[in-house]
Amino acid sequence: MNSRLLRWFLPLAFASLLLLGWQLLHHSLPPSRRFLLPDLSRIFAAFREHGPTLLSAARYTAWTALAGFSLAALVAIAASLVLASSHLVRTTLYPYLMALQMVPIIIIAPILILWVGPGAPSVIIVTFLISFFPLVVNTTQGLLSVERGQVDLFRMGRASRWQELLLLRAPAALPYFFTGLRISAILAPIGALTADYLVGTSTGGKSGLGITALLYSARNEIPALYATALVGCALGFALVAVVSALAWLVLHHWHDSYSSNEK
Amino acid sequence: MNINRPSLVFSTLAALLGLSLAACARKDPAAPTVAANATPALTPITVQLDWVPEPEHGGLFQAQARGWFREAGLDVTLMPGGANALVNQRVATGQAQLGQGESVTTLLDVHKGLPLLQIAAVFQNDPSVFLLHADNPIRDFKDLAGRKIMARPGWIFLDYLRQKYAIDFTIIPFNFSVSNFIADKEFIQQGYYIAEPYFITQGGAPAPKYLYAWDAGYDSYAVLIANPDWAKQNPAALRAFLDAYIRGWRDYLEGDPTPAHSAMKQANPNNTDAFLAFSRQMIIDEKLVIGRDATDTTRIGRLDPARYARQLKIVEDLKLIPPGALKVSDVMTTEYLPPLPKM
Repeated sequence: MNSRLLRWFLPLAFASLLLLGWQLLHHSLPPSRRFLLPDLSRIFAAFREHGPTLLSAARYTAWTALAGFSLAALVAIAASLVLASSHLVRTTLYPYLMALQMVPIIIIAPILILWVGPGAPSVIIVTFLISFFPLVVNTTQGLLSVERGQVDLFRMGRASRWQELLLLRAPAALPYFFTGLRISAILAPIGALTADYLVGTSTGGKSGLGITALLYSARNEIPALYATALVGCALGFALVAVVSALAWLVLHHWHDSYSSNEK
Repeated sequence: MNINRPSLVFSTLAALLGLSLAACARKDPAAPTVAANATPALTPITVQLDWVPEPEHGGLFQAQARGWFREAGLDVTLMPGGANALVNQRVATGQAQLGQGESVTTLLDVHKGLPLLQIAAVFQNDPSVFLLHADNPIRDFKDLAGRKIMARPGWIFLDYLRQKYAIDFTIIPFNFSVSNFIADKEFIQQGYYIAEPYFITQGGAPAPKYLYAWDAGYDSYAVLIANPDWAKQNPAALRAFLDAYIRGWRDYLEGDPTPAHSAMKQANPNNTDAFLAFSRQMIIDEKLVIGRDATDTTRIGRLDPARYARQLKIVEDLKLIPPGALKVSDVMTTEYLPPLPKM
């Protein structure tokens, strides 16, 4: 009971400390520079003033993030099955998986704009590229992280490879998969926001949080810029919450990490 | 771009496989055809803008909002740009038929092999200038030696300054913000002086002063650029377009700008009436569209081959293209502009 209360209380107490620090910092700045760290009331006012713009941008970024994230999850599952199937395949492909993560998005951005065109498809591809790696690495690791003894048991019982995969390896991989999913859930919204900044479009006033941030920045709307950042964070938290709930739903019956002994 | 789910997933996967160049749907800019009921079909034209819709696109938006493109048999789409507009690349690859850009950079792109043809002026002088605080002691380009300047690293004017004045300076990549400028009295940055000063004064700083690129002899236009193959196949449509475009500018500057401004606000809800009015007034006061030394509006949209010869000389002197590699007629034409005696 107590610990549950603490779980809400501690972060909130820390938040009020942060906000207090912010206000103090704001007032300690020379007046000509205060706009860089605006009074908190002005950031709240920005939410009201720019509410419709922020909401429509958040909706756009949310769906592109979700699309790129889901695509990454699906492709990662398929790729992990292939990678886990043979040491040879892993050795061959692993460097390229890493390269996929290493190629800077700012280099991919102009190429995507010319091949796919600015807008949602390009944003989704960038989000996919950002979210894919943690998923595939974790899931592959999970598929391989089965105790030797259990594999032997399956082999002795003459289980087919499919049975081994479905009944042994897949369940063992689930916690790893969800770890990857949680990392990617943090990356996907910020990935979609950055992608929108680099390869998005504001056609018909329909743009995501990235273009919105670009415009607020160009127009020196600093409070609105901070509001945009907070909306981006909120999207990240929301996606992490959904993934955590999903992980709980799937794992809490049997996995150690959800046993009641753990604090 | 409006794409439904299945084709979106498909194009995503295709791009991942590196196949998207082939898979990417491309509009075929068909020549105007006459339908059975004798109403001519509209010629589709996509214009790639260099930035989000603002008064720098006033002529285009006024002509669009007044319906003058449609009257001329054209179905025009004004495609907003952003941090990565890639105007020249999109025009060269035919993803847009026309684009708004800057003339000297476009010369280099032509030299690199991009098919691009400059067909009309937007601004008789590209309004990219240096912004400085009013009390900054810097008076001249020579004083920039050793300074830190925020600018687009690819801006050829920077190379030009280094060579002409034998100076060097540090470039910070342009981040589309004026916050640093407002906060730092010493800050110098590139800016479109018909836009940024508004946000600087709104941010509480005094109005900045400018160093104009043309005062250093850098004679570039803001221009409309066409895909030359498309232009060759659709000369009548392009002439009709430029006619409506010039009419659009004249009406935007001399008449009621409300139609264009409403469209700009719809395309970009961040546009406020005060900003749109400021930017339009700057364009008028600085005579950017009609020409800084003009006394009438006859020069709207006009390009001067002699100025292109000077621009080519600039990039040749900078050793960015070999001498004689490009002729004026390779990079620009006036043949699609309306005949001259016209008021």
